[in-house]
Amino acid sequence: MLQFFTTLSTNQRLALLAFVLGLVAIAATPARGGRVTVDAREMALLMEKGADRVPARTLADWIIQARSDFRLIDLRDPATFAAGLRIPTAENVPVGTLAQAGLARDEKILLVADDETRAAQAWFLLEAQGYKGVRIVEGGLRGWREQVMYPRVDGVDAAQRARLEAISAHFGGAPRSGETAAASDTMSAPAVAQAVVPVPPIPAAKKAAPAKKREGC
Amino acid sequence: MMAPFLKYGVFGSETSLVVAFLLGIGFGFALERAGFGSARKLVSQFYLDDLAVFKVMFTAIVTAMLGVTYLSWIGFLNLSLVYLVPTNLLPQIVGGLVLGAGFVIGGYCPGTALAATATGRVDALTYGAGLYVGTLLFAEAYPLVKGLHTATPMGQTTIPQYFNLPYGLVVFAVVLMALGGFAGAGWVEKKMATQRTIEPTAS
Amino acid sequence: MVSNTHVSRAPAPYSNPYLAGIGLGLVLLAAFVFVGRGLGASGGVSAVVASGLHAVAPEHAHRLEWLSGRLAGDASPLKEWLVFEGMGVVLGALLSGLLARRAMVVVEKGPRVSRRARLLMAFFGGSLMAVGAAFAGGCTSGQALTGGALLNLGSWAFMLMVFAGAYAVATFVKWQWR
Repeated sequence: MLQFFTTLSTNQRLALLAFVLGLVAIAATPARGGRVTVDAREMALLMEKGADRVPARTLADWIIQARSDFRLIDLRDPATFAAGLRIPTAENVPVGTLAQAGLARDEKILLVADDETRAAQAWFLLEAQGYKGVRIVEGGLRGWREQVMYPRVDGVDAAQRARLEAISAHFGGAPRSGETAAASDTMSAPAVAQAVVPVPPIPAAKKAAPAKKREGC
Repeated sequence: MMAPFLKYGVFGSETSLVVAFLLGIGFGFALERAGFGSARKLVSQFYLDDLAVFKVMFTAIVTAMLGVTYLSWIGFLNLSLVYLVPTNLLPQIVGGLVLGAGFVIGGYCPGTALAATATGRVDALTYGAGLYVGTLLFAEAYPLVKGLHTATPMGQTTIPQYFNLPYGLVVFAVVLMALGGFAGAGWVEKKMATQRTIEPTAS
Repeated sequence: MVSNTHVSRAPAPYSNPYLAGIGLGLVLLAAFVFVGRGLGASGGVSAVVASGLHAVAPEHAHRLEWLSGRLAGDASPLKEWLVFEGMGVVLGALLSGLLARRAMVVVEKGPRVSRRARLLMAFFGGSLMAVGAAFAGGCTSGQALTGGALLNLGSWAFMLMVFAGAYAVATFVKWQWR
């Protein structure tokens, strides 16, 4: 056997090596996509530290500052996204197409849906696939309405009130105090949704630039 | 799992630019060693008298493919974190044909033109100028061609996924194909060489 | 450069293609392991075009949908992986060329074609290739080599088409090379 090997030229030896490696590789099962391994401890730790979420008002600040170091992903289906309330700069990526959305594993990704459940499911899917900077927007779109667009200003001091007014005005909403909130004091989502359906266009300059294309030839 | 190092945070994106430069040195060195810094050597491929390009290219593909397969098999490399260019079949077929035609007309491809320019090939310089002009034209005319450019999107798809075959089996098939191709290439080169000696006027 | 008759000054022959291919494959593998992406070249060209256009006509550059993605964010489009890789390619190739005495100022062409015609053809081929690479989302490095090793479906289709396109046109431009 060894004697046979020494009679071969370099090229023939290389070919033999490639053949053997290829033959053994038939049994290989490289993990990709579908099947994932989950580091349960690390994930639990993220949840415990609250590193898995971002408050709606923080997101509002980022958008106002036109920060472009994150991507805001709206997980609702395209029809709902097109018809309803949208957070400025949000990209519409339904859960089923997350894998093709060109998200990078090292960029900050914020997930938003009607409520937290759907966003949390997507958060788990992405975390399990090794995406590092995924957060869900606290309260989802409902939280966005209540915290950012129509915040309650009863019992807050004047400075905070002015700040909330400025934020909600930026996004085309208005703060609710005792008298304005009286009509829909129970905070029924449909009533609010009705009131806010027209989404004010954001000034072009304020629009955060889309994330820079990083990969590809 | 610890690789890809960048994606696992072993170094940051600033450092990755240094890594890019170092990898580029290796890339350029290998290209020049193989003869890819010469347009005549590159296009010989398409006149069948010197199939080195085919040999180098497929050896590189087989080497990297086997490496990726084994490294992810032993759990060192997370293959799902290695970026895969999304498949858009129609524009890739059209683009491939146009690029192939440009290859034999221009004599280089973008990477080899860099290597050739570095080693003093003047035609690689004008080729490079053509690249910039072509890219600018494409960018300006993009609204016209956007339809084709974004047609038939299939996402990140591998051959094993698409044909529902075991990954390792496709790897073995590619190795076999390459080895067969190398044997065939040797045969063609020999045949072309004897043809040339029979008809010396042809050159 | 041909007139130099001193034996040791003659260009060294090219490497064994299989060994060179293994070297190339290992560099590619290193790229996968270190940064999780393959090698490329045409993307660097787009980055340079984007930044050049941005310097000359910034508003126009931002209006171009295909390039505007590269201009997003605060960093210069030149601060891009492929641009740094490209600079490395130049240095690596020069190094190899000097070591093998293959670095020389010359126009690569066949005996039947003038230098000017060859240079024009190179320019034309380059612009054609840029368009092809733009359509395919990559060139021979980024698509064929990188995607080939990752068994990327589109890359293999692309690779076959590159060979098909080149062989189909080869006879019509034979005057340039033979």
